[in-house]
Amino acid sequence: MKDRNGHPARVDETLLLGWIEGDLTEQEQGRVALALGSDEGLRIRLEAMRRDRLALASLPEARAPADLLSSVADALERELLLVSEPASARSAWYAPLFSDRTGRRLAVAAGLLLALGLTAWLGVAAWQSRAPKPSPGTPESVAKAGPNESDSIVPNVPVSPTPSETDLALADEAPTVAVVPTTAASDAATTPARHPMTAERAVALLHEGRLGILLKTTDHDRTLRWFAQRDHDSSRIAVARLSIAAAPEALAALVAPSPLIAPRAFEWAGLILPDEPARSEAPPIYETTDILVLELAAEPATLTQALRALSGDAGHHATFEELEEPLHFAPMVRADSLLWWRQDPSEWSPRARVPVVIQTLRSN
Amino acid sequence: MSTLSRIENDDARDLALVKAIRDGDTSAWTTLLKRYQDRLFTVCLRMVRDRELALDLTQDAFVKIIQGLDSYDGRAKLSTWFIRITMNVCLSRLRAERLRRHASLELMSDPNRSDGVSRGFPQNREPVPGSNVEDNERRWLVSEALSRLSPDQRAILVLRDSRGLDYDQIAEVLDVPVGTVKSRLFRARVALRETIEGLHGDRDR
Repeated sequence: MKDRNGHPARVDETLLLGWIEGDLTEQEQGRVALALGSDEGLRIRLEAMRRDRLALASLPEARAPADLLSSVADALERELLLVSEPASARSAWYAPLFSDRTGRRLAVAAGLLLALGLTAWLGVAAWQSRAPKPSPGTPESVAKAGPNESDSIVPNVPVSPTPSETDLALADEAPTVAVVPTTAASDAATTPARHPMTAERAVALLHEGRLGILLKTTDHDRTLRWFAQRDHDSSRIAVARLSIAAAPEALAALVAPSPLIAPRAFEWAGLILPDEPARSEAPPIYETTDILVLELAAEPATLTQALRALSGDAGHHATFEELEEPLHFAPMVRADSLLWWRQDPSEWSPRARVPVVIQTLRSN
Repeated sequence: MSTLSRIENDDARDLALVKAIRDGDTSAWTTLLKRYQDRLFTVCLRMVRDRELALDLTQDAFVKIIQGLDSYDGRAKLSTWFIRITMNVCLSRLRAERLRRHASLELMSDPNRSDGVSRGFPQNREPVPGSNVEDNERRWLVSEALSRLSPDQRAILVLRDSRGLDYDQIAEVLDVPVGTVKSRLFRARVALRETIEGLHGDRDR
């Protein structure tokens, strides 16, 4: 290949590609034509490559199968379902206790003892809460308050449902879980009260896959809208949905319908005893309407803030729950996880997934 | 309506759908995915030449798109972003398959493979319709040859010729400089030609 002056024509890959694709300038076309004029083999080859390109471009667009979108929905659900151990390997540690009559009796006795102990403890707690508080500034009050009492996001401190300005911008328009009228007093009175779980404990359980959140609501639609907004306007929390029918066994205890537990009946300090309900009135029942999976940073502050946001301003509506068996959800793969090397290092912090069982007050 | 204004309208519609989704309109998802299902399925089909496997890959890509939409920042066109995710899914699967099988180019064209990555079962193979015998022949050859190239070469040819992306968009999808795109594209064209000539030789024997 030589030019008019007898010098070798300089045609590189880019020029040849441009010739095949038909996007050369006039001057470039001239250079390539010169080169091809002196190399018949190259010309034939490039012509063939041009035809290959046209043939490839003319392959018709395929039609996706009609059921593609429904299979995507199924796949999304599968993504979230755990890769669980076989049921036999997941039996709870206390299962053998119930396998024979003696075991059952022992278990019942242990339960009674536990209930008695809790009652006694509650009595002490109530007495302490009514005892006169030390004056501010006294050594006693300082010792009780600790170095940073105003900072409520501290591991080991029972999670308070009081809304805070430090919430992950989650608290606005929190699901309305209105304080339910205390009509199910008998349930409340007979159900043992529990301590709110500490943030530290919640994080430990989260790492083990044994943390769940139970959210009781009276406004199902608004709750879901709230989650949808959180999912999209913040990269710090991701939400996915599980079908109730496919709920893993470990969630069974949370998914089952539960009688109303009036939040006010369990206020720690006041130990308010609600009025006796009318006997003819059926107790309101919460039933599971949705199961969502939240993905968030596995740290006490985030968990605390999330629970506060979920609880909104209506009291004890969202609670941390300990699952009997571990539940491991597949990570919510984001597009960026495929392109992880382009992510900001701050995004590399470990995130964990926690199931949120939403129970809605059944309308009678 | 000119092609340019149609493309601009398409882009605007895409962005409107993304906004609707972010505002909580879940029905916008269906509209958006339906707009792209044929295009993305075609990309996967060109990459693997097997309908079942292509369906599987398209499904994977959609799952990742759904889960990652909130990370879409609008810097690239939505269609380019969708294709990027889809192509990543395809390449990941093909590369994993090659590693798993210690595949060489010869293995990739082993007719006994059942995963459809190279040749696929006849009933799953992409049909190549055409208006006449010669067109059909050319399309079959180019389609067959494409399936015998390396995944990276296949990818760049699919993006350019099948999807009509320009060099900048291809660079964005494959995350390489434009110069690399041109160089790889030319070599992929050479490889395709050589493979087609090889197929001609096989048939003439």
